[in-house]
Amino acid sequence: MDHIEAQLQQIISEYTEKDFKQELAAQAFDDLGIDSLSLVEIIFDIEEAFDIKIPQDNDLENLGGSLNSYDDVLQLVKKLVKESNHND
Amino acid sequence: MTDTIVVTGLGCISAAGNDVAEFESTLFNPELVSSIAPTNIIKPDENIPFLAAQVNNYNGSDYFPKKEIKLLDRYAQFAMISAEQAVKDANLVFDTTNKHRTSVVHGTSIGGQETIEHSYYELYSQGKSRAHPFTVPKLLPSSASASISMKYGITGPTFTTASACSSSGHAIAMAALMLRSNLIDHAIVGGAEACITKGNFYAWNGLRVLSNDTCRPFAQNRSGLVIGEGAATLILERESSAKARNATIYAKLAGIGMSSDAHNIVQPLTEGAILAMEAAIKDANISTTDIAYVNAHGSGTMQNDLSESQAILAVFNPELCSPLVSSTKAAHGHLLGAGAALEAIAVILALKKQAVPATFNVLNKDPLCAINLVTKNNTKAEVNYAMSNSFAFGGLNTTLIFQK
Repeated sequence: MDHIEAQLQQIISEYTEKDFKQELAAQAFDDLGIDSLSLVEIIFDIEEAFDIKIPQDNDLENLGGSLNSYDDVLQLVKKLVKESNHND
Repeated sequence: MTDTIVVTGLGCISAAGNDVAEFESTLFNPELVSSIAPTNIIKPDENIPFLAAQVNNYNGSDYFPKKEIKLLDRYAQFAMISAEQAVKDANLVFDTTNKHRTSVVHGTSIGGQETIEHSYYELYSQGKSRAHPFTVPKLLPSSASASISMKYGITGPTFTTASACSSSGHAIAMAALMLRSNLIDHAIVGGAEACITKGNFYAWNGLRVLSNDTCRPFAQNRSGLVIGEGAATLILERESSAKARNATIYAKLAGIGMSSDAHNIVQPLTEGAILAMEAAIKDANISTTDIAYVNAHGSGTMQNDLSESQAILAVFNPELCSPLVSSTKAAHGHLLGAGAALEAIAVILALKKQAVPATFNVLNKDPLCAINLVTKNNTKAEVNYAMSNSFAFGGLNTTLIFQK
């Protein structure tokens, strides 16, 4: 597990009662008890932690991304962090 | 039998026009012209699209003398402007015979936001060691109601309602109850908002509900809400009083409905919206088939529009009726606490014109919002009763029904 995954799991685990296990990674946040208000907060935490900007929902949809599960978020964050490093 | 409550005066100022005539012309213009654009009030910033529905070419000194404007936040200025239009329109003069029996109830979601931010900027950023002496009088959410009361010498019940985006819906409902209980004879009701400010935009953007292109209620590709500013005021009185003084009657306020979701501070609950609409229909003592037009809350956010569509479809059984639905927020922006009052005027104009204003900016309707959405402007319809919804953060809901 790289540091992005570790940090992301730590952020998300603050918002769910369930212990993070790999089989939960593909599950919808809804099923993990993470509602849309928590998701807004998670996005804020991620933006702060990785110094990236998560696109607005409609832009994200156009880019083919989504924020429905841990796997979705991980994929997106890795992509954005990579892009941000390239821009540095 | 309780005397019917009627609307005898209208006033408004918003991005869709600086008075009711301009508002009517924007809303029912067959050529849809959206008033949403990047604001020039805040300096551009790469973090946020500062899209807003801003009052056009507004200069407070065109409306108020120097001494008066010093005590009025931008939101209270808008409140005063709309109130003055409405009082004049209603041809009402306040004197010793009626000032004790008149009420001012004006709603606002935030109040003097511009004053608050200006003062904090000076203290925190510029290192000033004192705040302007008028900071408190200007920032109070009750300053608009108080200022209207002072202007006309009104000494009856005067207060502000604050329930976020339902604030002026509650203002209208409270005044209606006071009129029904014969506590007052006239009411100046409405709402005002002016929060196109940097701090406020950052705060709303934090919730990820601000649109980055434009406001497209019930559209498949909707991207969120667009903050608007302005105010709207209505004059309410009992029908007997209006007739006795030969006042022009614009519409009857047939029913009011209020509810609370008791659910979540930002997520809407369909059941709460249903309760408000059903309460208003019951209060009006009519059936769903009587209502030809619904001016939806239709904020343009993913959540509201889906939840509201489901609520409308639950209240209006599609096998029995399918009222025309539109959201005028794409034309005038989301006026937060002033929204319900401005949209009440939109509904009253629809009754007058026997036409329904369109939902601007909709390219493709969201198939998940299976309501009878009007996207073609000035759609002619026989409208005897029309409903206006306002659903606020915190799940605080109001529905108003007006009758021709």
